[in-house]
Amino acid sequence: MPKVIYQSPDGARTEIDAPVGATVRNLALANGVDGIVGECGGELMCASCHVYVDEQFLERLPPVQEEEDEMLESTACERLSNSRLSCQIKMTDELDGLLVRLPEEQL
Amino acid sequence: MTPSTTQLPELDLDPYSPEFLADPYPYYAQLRDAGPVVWLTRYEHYVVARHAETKAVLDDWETFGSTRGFGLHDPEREPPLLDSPEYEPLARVPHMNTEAIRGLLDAVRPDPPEHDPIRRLFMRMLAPGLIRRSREQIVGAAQALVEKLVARGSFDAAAELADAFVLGVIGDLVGLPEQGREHIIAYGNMAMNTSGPRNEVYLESIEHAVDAVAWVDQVCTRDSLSPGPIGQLIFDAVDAGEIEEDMGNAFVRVFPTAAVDTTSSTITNAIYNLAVNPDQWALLRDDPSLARRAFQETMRFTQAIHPLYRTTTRDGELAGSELAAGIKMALFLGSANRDPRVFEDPDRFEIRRDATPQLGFGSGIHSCAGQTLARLEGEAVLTALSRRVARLELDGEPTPRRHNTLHTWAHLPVKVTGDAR
Repeated sequence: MPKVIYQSPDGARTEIDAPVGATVRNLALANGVDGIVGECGGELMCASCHVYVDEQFLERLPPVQEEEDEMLESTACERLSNSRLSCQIKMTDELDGLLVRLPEEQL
Repeated sequence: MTPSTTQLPELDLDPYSPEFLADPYPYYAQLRDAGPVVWLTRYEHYVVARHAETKAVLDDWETFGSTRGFGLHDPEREPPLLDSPEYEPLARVPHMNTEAIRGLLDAVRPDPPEHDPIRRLFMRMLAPGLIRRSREQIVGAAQALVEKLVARGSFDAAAELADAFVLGVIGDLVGLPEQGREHIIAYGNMAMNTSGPRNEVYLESIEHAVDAVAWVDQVCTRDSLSPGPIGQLIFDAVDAGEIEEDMGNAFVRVFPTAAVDTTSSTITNAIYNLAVNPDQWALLRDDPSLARRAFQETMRFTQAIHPLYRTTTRDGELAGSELAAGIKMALFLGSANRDPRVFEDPDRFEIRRDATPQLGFGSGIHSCAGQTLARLEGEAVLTALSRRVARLELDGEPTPRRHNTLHTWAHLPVKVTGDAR
């Protein structure tokens, strides 16, 4: 099973086994990883599941679609070139070891 | 027309009866237990009351369309609402802008592709970033109002707190004139009551909205608005040629229609839930950062919107049941939100739980575009109360709001003991 690694702003890392198809947002909430709020339920309505994706994985992700792009303009912490909404990242075998850094704030 | 419903469980419930409206939860349980899809004999339509199927229906707009309205009324089988004799009182409104009202329906009902530019504009008007820029102002307004009311020791948390606060927030964001904002209450009351059958509350809501319709017609135009970030964005979109001027006016009306009653009802419900559950109030007092969760849990536990409808666009299948095209389907979000298949101990109000799967804001492409704003309004009021009030209690019996769609209190008298911390 692929793994996803969440890194909190203080550098602490949490590694989670990720069933293929599960989203990075849902995995965090299901496993009690702090730092992802995602209060809209994964509907691209709240921009509170913002993550910074480690550069080496960026190209393996599907491109940002228009609605995600608009929502990324609304993140609480600055949008960077590696910003994504974790509700839009579905785990695949190719993403094994995916490292996402969590922002200081989501709301 | 009755489709072949031999395999569907049938129930003869009336979701609009006074008993059902007063306490829907036993009926919700009955609907959930009857099966994943139920045939309601009285109104001859489908009902879905469990969480999984409710979400599936909301997420599949192609099979469960919205173009035939979110209410019981079916424009393909009945005359347009505004042409019905029940709307005769509105004929007294001088120069009523029926085009703008039809435009409003066009703004909220379509499915893709017509829906796409509309949804994009809504998302821009209500984007979390834009709302965040108003945060200080909204939090400040909540603190000031709570301060004033708490000093009195007792007040009506529905009318004087929830309604007054939300009217102020929405009025300022849109840029509506301060004078006359109370008309929005009667206007929204009509808009949502008329989602139900043509019963007494339905007819009363139209009768009571005559002045409000005239006021809304007058103020929901470019020239009447004062600068407010949302009103500005709407008419910027008109100037950029994204939407027509009439559609711009219709967009302004979405706010009195959909952004006031819904949020204020939820805030009222939250205060009621906290007043009658002192253990939960104590948790919030100890940790005001639970305010957002308390709001989300209120959406789950006492969902303000009663039924919401879709219409089947084609023959289909749901949870093993065959469905015929062209039939209304009632969704009870408040029932999905109490489904024991998803929520542990669903009939308990617990502000620490993660109620995120609750469907009160809908799901899929028609999910509530204003949810970030609504959550912020809820958070602002509950935080202000928790910081300022030690004891929160009912001060006599609250008065339920008689309403076809909204499940809340018209008057919620509360008694508070202040706290200077």
